[in-house]
Amino acid sequence: MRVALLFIIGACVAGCFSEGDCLISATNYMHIQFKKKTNTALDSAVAMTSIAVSGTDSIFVFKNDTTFHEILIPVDIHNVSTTFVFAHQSLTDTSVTAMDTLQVGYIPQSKIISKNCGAYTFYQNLKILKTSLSASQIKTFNTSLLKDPTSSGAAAYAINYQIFY
Amino acid sequence: MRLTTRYFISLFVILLCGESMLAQQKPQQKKEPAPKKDFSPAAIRFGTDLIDLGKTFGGKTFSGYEINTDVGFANYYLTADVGSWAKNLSVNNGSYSNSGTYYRLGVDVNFLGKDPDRNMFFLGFRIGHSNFNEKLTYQATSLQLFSPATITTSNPNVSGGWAEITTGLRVKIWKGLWMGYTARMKFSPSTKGNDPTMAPYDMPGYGLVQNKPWWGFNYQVFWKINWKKEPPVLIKK
Repeated sequence: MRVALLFIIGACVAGCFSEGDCLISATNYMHIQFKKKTNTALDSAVAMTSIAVSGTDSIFVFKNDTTFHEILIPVDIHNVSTTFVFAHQSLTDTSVTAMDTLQVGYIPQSKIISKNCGAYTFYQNLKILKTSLSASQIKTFNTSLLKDPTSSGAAAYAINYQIFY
Repeated sequence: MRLTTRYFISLFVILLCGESMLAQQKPQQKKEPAPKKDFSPAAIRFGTDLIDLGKTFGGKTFSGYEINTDVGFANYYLTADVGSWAKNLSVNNGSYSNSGTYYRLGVDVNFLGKDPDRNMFFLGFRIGHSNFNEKLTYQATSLQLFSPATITTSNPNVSGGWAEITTGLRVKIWKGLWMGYTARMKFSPSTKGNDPTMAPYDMPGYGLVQNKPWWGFNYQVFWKINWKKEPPVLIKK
């Protein structure tokens, strides 16, 4: 009987630890890193002119060809695919603007975190539908768009692709 | 949480084994052979959960009922529950609704076997199954570029299952009228058949699928129907 009483008390106490926290790992930002083709361990500084994103008339324009070794770009929350057009300085001839396109598809999964936190979309099964890059130029990492809710900056986002220039 | 679940399962098994072991350890003073326990069932108890009815008539977010039955075989009771559950909830950025039916099957072990009124303090185990549908509408936002989107998604036909460890009381009030409660620790929920665009949220009979384990409590009223006279309770002297 004493053990049974312990069981009941234990069950009640354990119930107090079931409250969920409002930590949201859902994001619609895709994380791309640029790496050197010759040594994939090294970052490649890409002088980006602009990035056009399908589903919106707005374009990310970068003054003075800002250099990046990684970018976070949003996927279209109204559609199940997004096309990105990257305009950047050619690494072989800096006077030429090179254009690369990348079309990605994904499955948006809706999930209620809790009544107080609300519902969020988790973008999963990320895959390349079309690209002007060669197969050896792009490597897939995480196929979900995820963010560490306890961190900030690009490092908080799961790496989705590495592009080698 | 998995450790907690394992702990409670072990505890339950120890309790079951412990009862029979204790019975074996008592010195056998009787010379006459003990009369055999009568395992044939003599009655069935039908009941319902008053909390579900209270929430249905007293609130706006829940509608449902639950029918509980059990049949005794000496100190062991076969139990079966069927229920219906529908919810309409507001979430921070939208709304959620579901509806479905469920059943549970299981066994209770009565630890008050010598009680002349057959009152029960029991521990038990259940397997649950649920069929339900759910719908979610909410506002999705993007920090940059895109305007907010109203997302409507649904799971038209989901099924799921879970297991429970239960404990509770059944007390005879008057003639065939019984009252009692059942506390449940529900664990190992699983679902199948959901649309890939929506993660199941609230499974009728279980609750929030993401919570493992999850807890339940029923305050029940029963009516017991006897089809034969129950054998007298055997009290060892």
